[in-house]
Amino acid sequence: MLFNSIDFVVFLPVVLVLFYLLPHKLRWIFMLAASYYFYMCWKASYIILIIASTLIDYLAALQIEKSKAKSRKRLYLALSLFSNLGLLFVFKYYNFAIDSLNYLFEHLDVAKQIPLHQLLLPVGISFYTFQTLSYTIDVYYGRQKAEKHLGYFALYVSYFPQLVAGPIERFSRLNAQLRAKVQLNYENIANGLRLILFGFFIKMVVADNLSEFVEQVYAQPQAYSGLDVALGMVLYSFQIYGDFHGYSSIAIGTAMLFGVNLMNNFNTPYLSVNIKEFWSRWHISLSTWFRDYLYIPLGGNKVKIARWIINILIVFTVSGLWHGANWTFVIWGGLYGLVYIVEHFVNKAFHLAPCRNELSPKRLLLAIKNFVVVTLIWVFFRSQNLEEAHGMFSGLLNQHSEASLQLPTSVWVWFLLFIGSEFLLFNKRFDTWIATKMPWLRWAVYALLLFAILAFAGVQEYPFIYFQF
Amino acid sequence: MWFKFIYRTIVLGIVLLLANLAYSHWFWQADMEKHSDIYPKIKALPADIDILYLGESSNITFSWQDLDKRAISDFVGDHFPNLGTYNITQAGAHARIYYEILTAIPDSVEIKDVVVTMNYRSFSSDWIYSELEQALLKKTVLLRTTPPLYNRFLLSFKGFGGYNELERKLRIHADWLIPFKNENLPYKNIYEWDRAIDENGILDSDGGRSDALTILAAANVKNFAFDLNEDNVRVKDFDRIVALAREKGWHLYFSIMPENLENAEKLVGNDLVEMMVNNKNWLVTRYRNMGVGVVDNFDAVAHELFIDKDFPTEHYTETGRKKVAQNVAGLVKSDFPDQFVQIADPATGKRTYFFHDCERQEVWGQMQTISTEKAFEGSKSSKFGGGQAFSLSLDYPFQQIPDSFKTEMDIAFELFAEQPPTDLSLVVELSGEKIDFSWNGFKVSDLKTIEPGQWNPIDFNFKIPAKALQADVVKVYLYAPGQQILFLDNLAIQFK
Repeated sequence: MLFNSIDFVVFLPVVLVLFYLLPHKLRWIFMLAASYYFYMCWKASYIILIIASTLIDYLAALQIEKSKAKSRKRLYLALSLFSNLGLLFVFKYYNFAIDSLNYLFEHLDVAKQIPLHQLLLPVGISFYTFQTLSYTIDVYYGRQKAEKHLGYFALYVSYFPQLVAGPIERFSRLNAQLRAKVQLNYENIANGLRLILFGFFIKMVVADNLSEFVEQVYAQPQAYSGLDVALGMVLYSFQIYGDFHGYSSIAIGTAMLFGVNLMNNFNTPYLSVNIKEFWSRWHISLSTWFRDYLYIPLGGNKVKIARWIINILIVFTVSGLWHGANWTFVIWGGLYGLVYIVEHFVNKAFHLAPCRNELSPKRLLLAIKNFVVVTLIWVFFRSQNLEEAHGMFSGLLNQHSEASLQLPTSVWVWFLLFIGSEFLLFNKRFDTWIATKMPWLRWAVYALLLFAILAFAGVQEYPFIYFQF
Repeated sequence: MWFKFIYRTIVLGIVLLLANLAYSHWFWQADMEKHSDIYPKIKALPADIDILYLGESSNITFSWQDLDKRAISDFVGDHFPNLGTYNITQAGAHARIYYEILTAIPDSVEIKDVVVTMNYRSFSSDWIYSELEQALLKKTVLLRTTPPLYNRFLLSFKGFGGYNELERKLRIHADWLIPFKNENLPYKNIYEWDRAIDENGILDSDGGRSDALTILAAANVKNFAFDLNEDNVRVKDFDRIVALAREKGWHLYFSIMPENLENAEKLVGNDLVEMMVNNKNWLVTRYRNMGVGVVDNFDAVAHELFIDKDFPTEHYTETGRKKVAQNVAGLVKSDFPDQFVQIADPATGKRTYFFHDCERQEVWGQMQTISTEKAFEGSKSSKFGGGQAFSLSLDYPFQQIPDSFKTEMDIAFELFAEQPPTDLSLVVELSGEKIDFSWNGFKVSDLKTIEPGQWNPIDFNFKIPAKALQADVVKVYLYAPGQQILFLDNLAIQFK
């Protein structure tokens, strides 16, 4: 089920009302059933994968905790890692790996071609496998007690507000809230609705309307002038941001209606001054996951400089691969790693002081520089293949054009409003920011957002971009 | 808390009301034109319509071998040359879409007769729960009579009323398990029938299993095997159309489209055809009892006149489309007895009457002369002279005219000239490999005195010379080599 569908508009209030009508002890069963239904609306049979992942990690964690011997603990951890990553490999990376092998065979004049599979990539598989992985790893390192209640654990894995595209939550944080006895609370409902409203606006009004023009440019960059190609790249930066930030806001807002506080996933990332800061503001739940479960176990920055460089490159490349099984994603991630390292050494060499965490002309200038870098790197993320990315970059040099990008006034208005809101929301979340405003201003903003969603939302079928990861 | 809730609900209600007003006033029109390709068709309807034909792809699909590639609705219009016949065609449409279209037609449009295509296949689960449904409903959601802002919300939140993939599969699955009413059938339900076809296979002319034919046979079963009753979704949609027509005072006709019964019998057997005919009869009886004129074309088109041979469709060649049109016109004529024209020889089905009012889509010669500058009726006429010597012209294979209608031609048209034309001829041209070129020009000023500045009706009878009977092509047009600008409208030619 998509958030931006009438199904969800009906599903959410029904589930919400029933949730608060039910006694606390039955709520987990109800939420689990609702979460499974939510997922099954997309492809019913793939619920088996979630159930399998749940059962394996549930049992593995119990065995890890029960085992005295380190080797046995390791064995059960390996089972969890193998099954989760195995699932990911089969559905997400198998074709990519085989395709690359076949390409190699072709160039080595080996006649053999290995067939690809036709399986549909399960929505959200990268999210829920990472979520359950973090749980078993935490149990292994003794940071987390194994959950005895299969129902609550299953709900942690499949909790519908964040099931298909995060935020990727840690067990300790989410489980405690899922178990808590929640009372109907006005603030929770109001803040939840505010976030949902804002999320729908930036997803459906900003991102979906921009996507039409991004598609035009990416489809034939050679037809547009260099300026239009650059504009197309900029629009994509905001499309993907609006799309994913919008999804995350709806997810966080939805969970809040049920009294659950999910972690923030975005914090005005395009106002970052460098790549390091960008990744602390963009897809925060994923970057902290990689920090805790890959970067630090690799040694983090407590290693020699050469090893640190390798660690950074590994983390960013794996992060790229997590996003998609394609060389474009590998390059996308790798480029972030490279820029991260270069910026680190430049700052060190020139003794550049870190920018303060406040809006200032200096931050603005550096943010523009950083935005240009990020926008150029996004080209690899958006492109289907390296040729397409090359077409976009060479398109930047186009002198003449056969077509031009014609954004309607309304699209410009919503787009610029979104950019403006970034400055207002620097280091703040929409719900907390708006709550401090005068009632007339609050309601004016609500009315504007509501009107924009009802009258100007994009009408093409644009599922959330991150659903494919 | 409850006060807060009520207070906010009221404010929200006011916001929504104002938003709806603003949207309807400033943005609705543009959205309709952008997101509903049906809307421009409705908007283009004139204020006065005699016959409105609603159809799907069966109306407009043609074979490249067709001489006349026009739609069924155009052929219906040929029978009523002096009436305003219009169509709204939407590929894949069915009763629900027709209902949405009909409700969206403004009350200011006066309609006498409405002909709605009734496609037997559209009653099947396979079509009702088709994945194309979402796209179709999406085109109609803005047309609904509910508040425009609400419709726009449904559009962007995909609230068209269709089903998601899971629901579609479950519903089809449930329907295919329903036991057939006829207990004597060898198969209890669609699944069993389908399985039997798959297991036994359909043999080709060489006696070997043909996968293509087996798939086609299975498709016949899935699309045609069901028992109709009033609970069927499409039946309910047609019922709603009947109620709407009563409310609006339209004469309503349902045209049951031909199915390829020959193929169904050959591939699957008489059991299937019998079931189809029973269902069709049930529809005919039901809607005739409701006062609807039902045109029964079910078996009107033979196998060879179906265009698609690899899937059951309602796409017919020119002859098939004309046959359907003839049946429709035959029933509709009871509303317009004086306007009906027999355009074809009943014995051969070949056309004998030709008419062009410059409004219709039928392609004649010199269509580039169609102009909106003047019109006898409607909004267009053929503008010629002043360098464009030839008017709109009939250009037709003479051998397609039945031999018994090659004696004479009645030619009639309307002519407009600012000054009496001096150098204007009516030309009948007959040419072919087997005959000497026959060019027959008649000075229009000899036929009638032309009153300048007004439309002049002109009639002429032309005796076809015996030596020209072997002609391949007949052309009829006006010829004005001078600089004077002239207008021609309502050119009619009757072969006798």
